[in-house]
Formats: sequence, C-alpha cells, structure tokens
Amino acid sequence: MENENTGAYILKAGLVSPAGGSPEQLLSAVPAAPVPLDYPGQKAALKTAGYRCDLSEAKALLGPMKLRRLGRLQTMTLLAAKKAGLSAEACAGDTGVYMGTGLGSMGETAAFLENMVLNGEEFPKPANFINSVHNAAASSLALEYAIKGENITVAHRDISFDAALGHGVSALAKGRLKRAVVCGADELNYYHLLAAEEKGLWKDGAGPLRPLAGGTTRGTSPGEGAAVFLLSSGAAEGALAKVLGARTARYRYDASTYLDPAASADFLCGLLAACGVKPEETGLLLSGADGDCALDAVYLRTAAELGRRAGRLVPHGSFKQYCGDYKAASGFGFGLAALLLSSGTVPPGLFPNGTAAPGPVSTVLSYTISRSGSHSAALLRSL
Amino acid sequence: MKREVVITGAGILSAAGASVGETWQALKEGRDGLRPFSLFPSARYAGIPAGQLQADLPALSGLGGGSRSDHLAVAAARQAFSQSFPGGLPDPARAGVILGACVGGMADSEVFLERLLRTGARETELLHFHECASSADAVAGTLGLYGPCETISTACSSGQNAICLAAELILSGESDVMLAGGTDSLSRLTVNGFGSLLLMDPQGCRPFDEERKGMSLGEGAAVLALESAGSAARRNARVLARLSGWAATCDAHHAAAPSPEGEGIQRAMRGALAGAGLSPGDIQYISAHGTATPDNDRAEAAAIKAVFGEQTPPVSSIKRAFGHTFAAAGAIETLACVLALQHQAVPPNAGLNRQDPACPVKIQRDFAACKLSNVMSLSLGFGGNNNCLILSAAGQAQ
Repeated sequence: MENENTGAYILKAGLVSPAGGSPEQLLSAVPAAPVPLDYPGQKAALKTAGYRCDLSEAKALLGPMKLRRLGRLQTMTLLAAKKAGLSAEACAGDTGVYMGTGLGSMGETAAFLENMVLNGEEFPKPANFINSVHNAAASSLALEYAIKGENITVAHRDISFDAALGHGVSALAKGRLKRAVVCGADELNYYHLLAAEEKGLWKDGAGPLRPLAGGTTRGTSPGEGAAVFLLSSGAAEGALAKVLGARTARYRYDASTYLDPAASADFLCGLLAACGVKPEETGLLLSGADGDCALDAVYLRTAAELGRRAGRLVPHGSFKQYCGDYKAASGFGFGLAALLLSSGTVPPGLFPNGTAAPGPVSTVLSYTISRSGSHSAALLRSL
Repeated sequence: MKREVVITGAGILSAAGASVGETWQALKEGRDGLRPFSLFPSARYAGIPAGQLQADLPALSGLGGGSRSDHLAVAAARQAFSQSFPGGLPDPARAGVILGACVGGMADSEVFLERLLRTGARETELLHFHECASSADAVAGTLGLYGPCETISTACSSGQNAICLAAELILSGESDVMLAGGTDSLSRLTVNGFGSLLLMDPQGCRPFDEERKGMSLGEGAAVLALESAGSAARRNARVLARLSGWAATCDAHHAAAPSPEGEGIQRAMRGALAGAGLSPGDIQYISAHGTATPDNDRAEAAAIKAVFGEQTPPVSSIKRAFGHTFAAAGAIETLACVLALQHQAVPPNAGLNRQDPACPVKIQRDFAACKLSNVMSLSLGFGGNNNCLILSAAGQAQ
C-alpha cells in the first residue's frame, strides 16, 4: 500500500521545450520534424537536424538587461521558472534548488575558450567564465528568487534530472526543507553536436523522431529544453500530482541484450515497492526511448518484463519525439507526466502510430537508461 | 535504530602527496606544495605557483584510458577501497559512488578546440572523456559498484556536497556503502578563468594574510569510503571518524562573490551544529575554505566569529600545501579533518606571515597536538554555495 508520508507534491511546473511551454500546447502537440541547426561562422557546417527551443519570450519575461548577463542554459531555466509561476514569496523560507544538467553551460564555456584560442590570454571574458560553471543556472534561480537553502547541481549524463529529483524529494522527506525547486535543463551546443555527429550518434535526414515504432535505424535527433518544478512536502490546493520517489543505479552491461530486461524490471519494481505501489498499479511507463533501434529495443523488452510481473500489459509511451534527445530530457518527461496526471488527458502522441492511448491513468513510471551504464526512474501519482 | 554514517577508508592524490601518509606528513610540516606551473604552454601564466602533480597518473590509476581527472579519481578511490574493503564488497548492489567534479576532461577538450579552430581538424576522440560524469563512472566501473553513481557539480564546494549527499543516501537506506569525494585537474579554462577575475596571487596563496592577493590553483582528488555504522560493525571494520552533522546553504547574493558577512556560511555552520546535536563550544578545530582571495577569507572569518564569538577554535586553511583543487578541495579538506582526529593534532595555516586584522579568528600558525573530539570543515563555491560538515572522533559516543 502506498505510503502517504513519503514523496512530495508538485505545486508548479514550467517547461521550455521545442514543442511549446503551455500545458495546452504540450498535451495537444503533434510530434514535429526536427529543424536544420545552423551555427553561422563555425568552421564546419552541421548536417544534423534537431529540436530547438524558441526563446523569443525571454526578452519580455526576463528583461533585456538581465538577458545580456545570462547564457542560454540560464535563460532557458529562468524562463521555465517564470512559466512555472515561481515567485520569491513561494520560495521564501526553507527552500532548496536541485538542478540536473548533463553538460552544463556548454555555450558559455565554449565562448570563453574560443576567445582564449583566437585572441590569446590577454583579453579574457570573465562573465563567460563565471557563467561556465555547471551550477550557473541553479545559482541564477537562487539569485532571482532569493532561495537560500541547499543549492545542488547534479551533472551525470542522462540520469541528471532524476538524481536531482531524488535528492530534492529526500530533503523534503527528511524535513531539511519545506519546498524544493527541482529543474532539468540542457542546451544545444555546436561542439557537442559536432562531436556526436562525427561519432554517428545522430540520425541521417530530418524526419520526425518515432520512438518505439519499430524503426530499424540507429541514432537519434538532438534537442534541448528546461523544466522547473516547485515541490512541497505538504499538500496544497492546485497541486498537479505527487512524486512518490526517484532513484538511480548502475546496471551491468550485457553485450547481447545491452541491459538485461530482468535487471531493469528489478530496478523499476524496487522503486515501486519502496513507494508501496504494486507493478499492476502502473498506469503508464513513460520511457526515454529516443528512436535509436538498439536502445528502443531495450525499453520494449523492459516494458514486456514489467508487464509480465504486473500480470497485464503496461502501456508504454515516450516523449523525445517532442523535445529531441538531451541529457536532462527526463525532466521534460516528468513535466509531461505531471500535466497528464493533473488534466486526466493522455496525449495520443506519446504512443507510436497505431497504438491506442490508454484511458485516464493515475500512476506514471518514468524510466531513463543512460548508455554510459546508469539508469534512473521516478514515480508519479495523481491526486 | 537510527542509522549513522562512518568513514572506513580514505584515499588522496595531490601536490602534497600520493597517499594519506604522505599528505599528513606534508600538512604536519606546513609544507609549501606549490611549484611553477608548466602543465601546458601559457604566455601569461607559465611559472605561477600551482599545485600541479608530477606523478604518472595512468600508472597510479591503472585505467586504460581517461581524462586527467579520471585518473586522479580512480587512484584515490582505489586507496580508499583497499583500506576499507581488502576482501571485496559485501554487496556491490548496495554500494555506490558520488563524486564532485567541475573540470572533467576539459584539458583534452581544449586541445580539440584549439586544433579545430586553428586547422579545422576534428579530433573528436579528444572529447571522449569530456563530461564530469566520466570520473564517477570510471570509479564505479573499476571497483564494481552497482548502487547510485552520480556527479555533483557545485563549483568549488562540489566535493564536500558529494560527501554529504552520499551520506544522505546511506541514511535513507538506499545504500550501505558510498565512495564519495571530489576530483579535478588543472585546465586552461580554470587557469585563465580565475586569472581573468584577477584572483590569483603571483607569490602563491597566503590564506588570511594581510598581504594576500588571491588563490593558487591545484589539482587532485580525495575519496572517502562512507558506510552505515551497522554495515561497518558487521564487518568489524575500523572506523576512522564519524560524520555527525552537515548542512548546505546558498547566499543568493552574487554569482561569484560571497556575502560580506558570510551570512550563508553562518547558516551552514549553525545547521551542521544542529544536525550533530552540538554547540559551538564542542568544536575544537575548523578547517577553513580559505582560498586567500580578499573577499573569501574576510567573509569566512566574519561568519566564524558570528557563530563562535570572540574565542574561536583554531582555524587553518591548508591550501598552500596543494593549491585550490576546485571540486576536490572540500573532499581533501574533509580527509585532512579525518587525519586531524586520528592524530589528535591540528595542521597549520601555511603561507601566513602577518594575519589580516579584518579576519579576527584564531589562525593556527603551527602544527599542534591537541585533544580533538569534533572538527568542522567549510567548503564554499561560486553561486554562493556553502557547505559545512562536522566530523567526530571514531570512538566518541553520541
């Protein structure tokens, strides 16, 4: 039976994504094709298409003066916070920040180093250096909203958001804080795109990503985004959903199956059990499937094994067709899960063509596999 | 029964030494570990004092490939692991790793960038170990840890935050054993970055000195084996120290400078004391972050005085021994606190000539034997990040 004393309430959610930011936009979005990624002035043009956020609102919402001092990751994060309706009042008192970002402020780091290489060491740009640290976005949130509690940034590949979420939920559960601002953000960056392109990690062509649709091609399409949530240990009117728990672990790499589905199901069932939820209560498995046929196959085998343990088919959807692949993308998936639990609407676009959307769901299990050897999960329940 | 976190192993690699024993000897002597910087060509910074390692890092780590930070982390983790688990782990699924890291494989990424911009060469294999996460992955992979594997990147407080979050996972019951600490290598980004902020002292760092002009950079790693007291007791493991309290706060004052009165540092110290169930009078030594920048030392001293009053316990910054090692700094200084408790002695504040009157705390000038039951380590970072951790002697009853 679910333990009523664990977990945290999701009071507010704000998303900056290539598919838009408002709940209405996101819940009715139709997966779109990625767009060409143009970086004028760079040595080599990219062939890759990707999912890029429109930040045109930033000037009006954040103000031009502030915008001049921020890197792209900080801008996306503060914009998501504005969309969440965060305020200094809502964050007053015992509030902490838990940020997940896989690559941090790549743009600011690159800007500092490009200048150093091209112009020598005599004319550095200190602002780029200050903004280059991985915790620059979390620091910007603290400054913007006067948040004086713990300020933690997790930078661990694809599990960054879920790990940050886990630490935030744990701090609330132990009473160290009353509220936690949990975020996940990563930005598109030329050098990251170029390096991955050279390795063949991106899909050829510019067709829409179709995870879980039985595709036979390797690779994915890059994306970016920011998600900001205000969590509370106490219930409040208007809360979107409850997060029951989140956890991360390493997995044993298996050369033939990548990740043994029994091991991934063990991991997921471990989280469910810790939250007092039975496998058969899982209404939706929302995975980080990214259209790469090898990784999609692992997710599909995991869903099948989870279904076997639940004694029924567990509906399995994905979200990267909306936002592309980026390290902290599970934050976007988490936001989508919170919105669908709050609205009772399950977007049909979560499922591959021909798969019927399930009816209203009350429990969503979000699952992310990182190719580097870790996996992570978060469990949400409707109120 | 309340879970408690203890330390059963420690490993370190820095300009002060390649083992725990060498490090303590260097600290005891108040040795200056800074040498002229030469890791990569630099028109502006060549020869400045820095805590640069000369050791053959791949030989120490045993890693086939990896960034300089990865080698440092794995070498330190091997020391901690072999001290704590000479017979192997009781349950690898209940053992994880959290490291603080800021730089990752940046030194190689900088070579990639320079060659791309100058010649168009796309040597993307140089980026293979770019991510900060690479070091924790390397530690987990090398030692066969299958619990949580995470990287904390909160600038210079990363290592100490990593230790505290690892302890939290043990207290939550998610893990029994966590290797935790920090690692960072020198890179052009950090040397030029702190140089651009005019925060480096050409004479080498002189924490709390009236004439101090800034920090000296360094590189290194420190890893502690944290364990639930129950797990340590079941194994009959030797406990080096206990983690009795910790707290983290944010100034929310400035992106790169501390609040002048150290208000956030004060809250961190008070939070850690409350968590440990101790009062200021129970602390016998404070390991300061002590970067030797004018702002940091003044704010830190103001905070210590505000919490401890006129009669502060002995305070020292040990950064002259190995430089400011960014994400590793808090882990190295926590390890130094473990050693202080074990040896019942306080390491001196090397590099001090005349104490800054604007830093009115009791700076420890010389190595001194004294009775230590509880010691405090402060670790601060960009973004107004503050972490305070309290360690207690192994045998001390709660």
